[in-house]
Amino acid sequence: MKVNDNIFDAIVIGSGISGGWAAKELTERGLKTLVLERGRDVKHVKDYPTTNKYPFEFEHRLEVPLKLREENPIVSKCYAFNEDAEHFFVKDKEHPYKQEKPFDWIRGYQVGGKSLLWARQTQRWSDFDFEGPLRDGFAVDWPIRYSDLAPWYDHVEKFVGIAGNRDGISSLPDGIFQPAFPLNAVEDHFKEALQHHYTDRYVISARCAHLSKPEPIHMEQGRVKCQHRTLCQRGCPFGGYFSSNAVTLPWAEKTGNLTLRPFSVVSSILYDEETQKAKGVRIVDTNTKESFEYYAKVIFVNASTINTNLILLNSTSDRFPNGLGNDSGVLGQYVAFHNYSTRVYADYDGDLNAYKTDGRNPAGGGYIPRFRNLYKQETDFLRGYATGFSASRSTYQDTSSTGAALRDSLLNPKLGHWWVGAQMMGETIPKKEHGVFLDQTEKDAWGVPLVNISVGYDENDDKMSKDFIAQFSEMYEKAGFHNIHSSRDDQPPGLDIHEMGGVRMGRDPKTSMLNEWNQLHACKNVFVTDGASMTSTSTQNPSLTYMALTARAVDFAILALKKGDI
Amino acid sequence: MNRREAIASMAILAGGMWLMKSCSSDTKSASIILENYKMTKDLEDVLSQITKTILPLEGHEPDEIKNLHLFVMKMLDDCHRKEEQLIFTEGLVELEKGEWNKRAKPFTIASQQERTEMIALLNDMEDNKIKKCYEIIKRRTIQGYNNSAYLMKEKGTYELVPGRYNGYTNV
Repeated sequence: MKVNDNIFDAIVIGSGISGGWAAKELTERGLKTLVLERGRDVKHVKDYPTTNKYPFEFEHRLEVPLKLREENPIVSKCYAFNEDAEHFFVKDKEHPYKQEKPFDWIRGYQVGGKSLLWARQTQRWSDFDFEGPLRDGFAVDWPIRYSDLAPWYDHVEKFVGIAGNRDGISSLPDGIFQPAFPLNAVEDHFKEALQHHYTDRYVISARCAHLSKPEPIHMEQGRVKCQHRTLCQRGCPFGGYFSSNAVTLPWAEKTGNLTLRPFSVVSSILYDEETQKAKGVRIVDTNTKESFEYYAKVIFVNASTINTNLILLNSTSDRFPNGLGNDSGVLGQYVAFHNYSTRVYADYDGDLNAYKTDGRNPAGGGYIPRFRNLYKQETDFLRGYATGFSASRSTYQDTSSTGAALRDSLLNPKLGHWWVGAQMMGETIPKKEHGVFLDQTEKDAWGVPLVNISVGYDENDDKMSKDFIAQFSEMYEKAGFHNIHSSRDDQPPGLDIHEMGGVRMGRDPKTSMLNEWNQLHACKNVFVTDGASMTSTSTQNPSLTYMALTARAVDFAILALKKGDI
Repeated sequence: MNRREAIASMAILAGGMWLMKSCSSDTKSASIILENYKMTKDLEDVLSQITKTILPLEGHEPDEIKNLHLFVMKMLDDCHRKEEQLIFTEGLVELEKGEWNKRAKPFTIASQQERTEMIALLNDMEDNKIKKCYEIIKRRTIQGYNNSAYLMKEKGTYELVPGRYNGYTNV
């Protein structure tokens, strides 16, 4: 190692959706930045080996072989874990963790992280979310409001490219949008039925990070219009959807200020007792098992919610015996998620049978913003749910026969009926007893203690699920749907892949880890801007908010560096 | 009936010779490499005849369709539990013996017409080992057919790059 080649202006831990943004913003502003990624490198297009394959080009026609499923029962539950994308998911067997309570932890250990795999839904949060804990008396008050984040949502949306309509709904602020992917006939029918029967329930085109009409900035990124393949989890050769791999990391690289180091597990952040700041990080090279130290003036922790908690918990010093910045004792606590357990389905039969769909909708269909307990408390549970709503009409084959009759029916599929499905996305309440902690006995292959997860549902979630079923059954009935039925999985939390908290933001250092700039109250040059920083979970998909928080925190950090504050 | 099928039939006619053969060490193994499941070439041939009877060829199909039984074997090898594999083998041997119905006979010596009738009988059969085996064959045969290049590309049932979405297409 050359002298000083381990010194940077900034270090970013993690290269997923928020780490990629930290890298982009820091390098663009001239900071020599080291991005540490525990997994392998994945270069845009070049490292998407399955992206252009037809189903018949997969040995098992996309089915995951039994051995792989049996060895990895948790990740096998994830909807996107199929033969075409299994190489982008962490295998349970390779990276064990402890579950004091069952938790399906879905991970992507590679450059780009889960930004390759995400569901690409990008709804802004609103003050109904940021004011939630204060109004309803849980967690702690968010130290920011929507107006603090609004310009940063703008900033991020312009660069990412979001398809959506300006719907003018108070609980779901409008943003800077490209044309939305329109609803289909039956989704529109439901939208109109809700408008007719309710004053507060809207079906909108789900807003998503797909390019429907690329602007010059997106062409400069080397991306083109989304081609409606909906094979996103394989990585997109068109750059049709946003990922760190396709967008922020190549952008950061172009500045000449980026150093990307894959195969680097961060074991801890190093605290300098003299300067009372973090001086760098210690990593283990996963290939050689050698330890290295890297130093920088500012550190962004974007390792994904649970791993960010793990790194801080494992960063102990005389000053911080219980984890970096953990004066309050709340590090690792108040972890929550989205309740995705409940769905309501129905069939449609009516005039719209004159229509079917053609092609594929990358937005996935409609989105219904939260309507429960919005302006005031109106149920026996706190908060509410947003809903993914979609209608579809596909063809089916009669496979009951054999011989020539069977062949004929396979070659001539029949058009089925329309059906609709609603997926609940419920806010859950962060609690002290729900969180993560270091296992006292077991360590991973790199000498880092295993993380133990203890997060679960509560009575509030149960009541909310029941309400969701009741409300959607009623709404479906009013829309004239029939054969209404619901399902409620007893799946543990985790498959929503929206775990948040543990390093929460707050106004008071006694009850929170981060201030309004995502800066550790007690160690000013460390910023946490991934899901770990979230004070509450809202009902909206959180990635867009992580990106906005990251860009905002980098801006603050750079000013603070210039002023000599950190 | 081709030469190999004829030989196999003779073996069966020769009083259970064929079954003995499938247990002996010099038995010819399947024509593709299987890692988790053992299958003899004889049983493979039976399987091939069954898949072609469940889903008869029109004559002009490419090899991937003519060899759909290889896909069934591949899936059996990699995607089925040990217990299912055992039931499959036992079911297939029983099926081939042709003693499961008074209208059944060994598949390998039956005429195409008789095979077609037997498949129809299997299709309506009550649940047992033979039926379980049959159902795996049928399900995997249909899966292989639906997910073939022949259907997806030649017959155009799948678009890799649609480039569009229309939620109001007239039926």
